Amino acid sequence: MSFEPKILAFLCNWCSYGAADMAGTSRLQYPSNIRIIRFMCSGRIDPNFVIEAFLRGADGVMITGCHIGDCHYIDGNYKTVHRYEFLKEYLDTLGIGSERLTLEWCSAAEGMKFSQKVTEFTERIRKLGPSPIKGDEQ
Amino acid sequence: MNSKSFWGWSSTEALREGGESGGFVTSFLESIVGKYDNILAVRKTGTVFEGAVMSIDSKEDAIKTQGALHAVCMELSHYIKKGERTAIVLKPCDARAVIENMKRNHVERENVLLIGLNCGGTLPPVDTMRFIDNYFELAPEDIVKEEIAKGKIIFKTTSGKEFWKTIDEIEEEGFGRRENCRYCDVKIPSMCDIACGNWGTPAGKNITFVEVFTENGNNALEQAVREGFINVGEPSEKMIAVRSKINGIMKKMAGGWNKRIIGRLRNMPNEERLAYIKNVLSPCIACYACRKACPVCKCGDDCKCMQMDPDDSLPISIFHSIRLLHLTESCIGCGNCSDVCPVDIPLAHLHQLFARNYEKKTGYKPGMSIEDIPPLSRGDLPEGY
Repeated sequence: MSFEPKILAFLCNWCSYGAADMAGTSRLQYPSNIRIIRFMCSGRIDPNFVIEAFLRGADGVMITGCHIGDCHYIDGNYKTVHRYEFLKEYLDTLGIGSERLTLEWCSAAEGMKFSQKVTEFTERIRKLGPSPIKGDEQ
Repeated sequence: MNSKSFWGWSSTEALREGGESGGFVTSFLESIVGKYDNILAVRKTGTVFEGAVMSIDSKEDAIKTQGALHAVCMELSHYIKKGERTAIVLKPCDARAVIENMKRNHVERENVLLIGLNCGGTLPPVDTMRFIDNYFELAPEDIVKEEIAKGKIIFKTTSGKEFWKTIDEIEEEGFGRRENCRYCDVKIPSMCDIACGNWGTPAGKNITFVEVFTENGNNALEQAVREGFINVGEPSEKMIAVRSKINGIMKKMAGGWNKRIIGRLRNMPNEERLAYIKNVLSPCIACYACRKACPVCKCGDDCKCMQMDPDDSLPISIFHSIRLLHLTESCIGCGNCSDVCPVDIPLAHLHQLFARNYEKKTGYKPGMSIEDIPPLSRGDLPEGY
């Protein structure tokens, strides 16, 4: 059987989740490899969540939030940026590779962008293959 | 304030002879007895390989702490209590730990007087005892003093003889300084109030080179001089240069070890490094000793890393992945985690690998100054966004 990546997507409630909704109502197609978890803000996403996702078998993790300046909580996504930069370095050092993590800004009106980014990211992970941290049994 | 340099020595003749490099620190401690709630230092409890923390309440206590102990690797920062005025004698990594705790509001800066000691490295007690037995056929009781100076590790015996080997020679054979000390690049504790050491002092003169970094340290030193506990002198330009040259040599040596230990891991291909990390962490028995011993780990028992099941079948336990995450921006490389590990996991160099890679990326080095805010706690927007 060909490799189907498992991708975990962390979406913020105010923009990106709206974008996913928009993609749905506009009947835009995107791969069904992503599993969406909704957060109230992308600034709530603790680096632990991302590393735990990888430990529990995710091949890629996508973080999405409001555009800079549009955060519902004013500067929640500034924190996301710092954590994203931190996580990239962490994943590179650990050996998983930072290319398995992505950060995208999607406003509630950008259903098109959301579906595009999901497609792109799924293709990227498909090329990279299964996450190296997964054991043979998974 | 700009740092000021002095030569200092004890006014008491006996202390000047008996203490390390002129007994400056001992006399300085005498001078501050009673002015702090807690004065902490390490004292010898048996041979030079055994020591204990001592709370100094009197001048007699201060005298008990004289002499440097390279083979007693104690982390004193655990003993500082919030709200107590504390003076503490510590090595650079301890001082960095205290600074990290200050950033996280576990200790108040204005309450603590940090008396730093220059440090070229510490010795693991058990390995060092084995070493002197193997190479010089000495027992631990025979040693009255051990010293790291001029690229050598020197042991002085009760009979007055000196045995030495160069640091490089010893370390090639697998003994010598602790692993984290070899690649540690903070030799002069510039984050302290004052830093004392024998680098940049004339040989055989029993003098300590003192560098004062803060107003607080300056006041304490001036008071000690005024009350007649210590004498100070102006160091010559030449000796100041000698001191920074020694510092440079030690740092260069650390750089070499950094390449050998951290660099080796850094240059591995990703898969190999991941396999290595998984492999070294696999014997973990989840005793949490590393967490307990860690001077910067201060989340308390409610930390997420404690709520995890050590028996889960994850490739790397969540306990270790969270500790690696947390320490990436705060590991000060004291090596306590490796020391206490009952199954000898080389945790210190794993944490340092993460911390140094992050330092390379962001330029943030933990524990160097209380003004440096960790990148994850900054509220600004990084470049490129």
